[in-house]
Amino acid sequence: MIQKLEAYFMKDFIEKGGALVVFAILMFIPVDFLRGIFMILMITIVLSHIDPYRRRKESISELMALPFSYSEIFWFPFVFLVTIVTIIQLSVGGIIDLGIYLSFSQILHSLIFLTAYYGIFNIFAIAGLSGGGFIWLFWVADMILGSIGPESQNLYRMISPIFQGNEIAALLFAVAILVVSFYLFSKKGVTKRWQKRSSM
Amino acid sequence: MAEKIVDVKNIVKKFGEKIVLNNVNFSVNYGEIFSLIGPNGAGKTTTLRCLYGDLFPDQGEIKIFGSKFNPNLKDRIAVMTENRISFSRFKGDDYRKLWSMLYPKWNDEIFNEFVIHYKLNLGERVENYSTGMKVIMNLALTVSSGAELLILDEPTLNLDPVVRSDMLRILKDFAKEGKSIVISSHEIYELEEIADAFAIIKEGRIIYTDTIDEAKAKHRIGGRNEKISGEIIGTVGDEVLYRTDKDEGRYPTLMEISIAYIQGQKRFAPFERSDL
Repeated sequence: MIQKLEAYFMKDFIEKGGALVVFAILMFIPVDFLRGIFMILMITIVLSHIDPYRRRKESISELMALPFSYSEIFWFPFVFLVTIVTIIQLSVGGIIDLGIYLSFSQILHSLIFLTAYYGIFNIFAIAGLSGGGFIWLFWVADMILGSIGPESQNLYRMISPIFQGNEIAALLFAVAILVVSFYLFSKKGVTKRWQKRSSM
Repeated sequence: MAEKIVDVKNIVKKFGEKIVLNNVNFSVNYGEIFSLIGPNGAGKTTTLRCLYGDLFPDQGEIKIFGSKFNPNLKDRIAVMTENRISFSRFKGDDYRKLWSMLYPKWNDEIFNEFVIHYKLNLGERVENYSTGMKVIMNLALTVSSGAELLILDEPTLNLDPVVRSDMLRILKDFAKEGKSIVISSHEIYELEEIADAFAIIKEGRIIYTDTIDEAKAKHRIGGRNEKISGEIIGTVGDEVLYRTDKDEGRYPTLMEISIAYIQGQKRFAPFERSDL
């Protein structure tokens, strides 16, 4: 398993390393709003192989032709992103001396955001829609819904991956999205749109 | 050891409402080269994708190495897809590293033989290789993986005649070691040279499957106007293929068997007019 994970990381670094390094550096900017945008861009890059509108050479099929299972293809990129985001947040915490509590809180905040948006990207891709496009629509909707009315009366704000009004509720919401997306991914795959145009 | 390395039973696969595979059945023995023959869009690639777990059949069962298919078996299966190897920015050596990490029985010595013989530049990006070199690289990876089952989609497409002949010999030698190969190809003359058994697939159904020797023994070719005793399968040019146990006509080739089964008794002859 570790060997396969290592192989997957190596593949992603070779294919997408340049763009990922750029966004990883930009994530050092200590502004939550920008960090969210760069995290979405990283998700879009890491999951480009499952986006029905970005896939160039059917690379999910290329991955499935190797000894990877659907579960591994779902979880390995997630582990990859969690690793990158955690390292960056730990480094940022160290550089600006946030202290243990604030550093941990920042990491948790980023990981909740990452978990929710990773799941959202997958759900759109499984539905045959552009994950890389619709994830931004969700981001706008998340921003608008979380900003309506007074903070204390906005229930959505509690679970919003951007605002995380209540960290536990937001964490549970993010995990629920991730679990649903994994269930759909392992049951249906992401081949809907592509199957229709591929040769038989 | 189970006798069958692949056992496909009644698999059905739908894409939306469209039925792409309809009750597909066939089996492959250890040490056998099995070919899937059929026109474009018949369901060959879909069948192969079901074998290595890229697609899940809606019904039916696939057994590989005697067990119901599960992802843990995949490091014993090496696949060459119709799109070949296409990871961007990958150099030849990156592919070697990736495959050697994923296949526990990876054989570097065999891979190096390919590299030396075909002068593969492992420091160059594979996307810059010629189409033929990409196929060679893919075949080198597949054969060196140490897998017991190879699944190859059009493996000799775009190869020059010399390399093609080398590849056929290599695949034949590979199977002699008790390993098996499932090939989908339009190159029926090549398949006749190396395959032991075959299945003809048309519109998502297997319409005939047998060993090549048995298939030849069970069929004959006769003239369209000759008296024949047996079930007519289809036309092959100006002749017909029919199934009989009588010793008459001539033995067919695999190509003639395939054409007759796929074409049936319909014949496309635009220059033949009844009023001429």
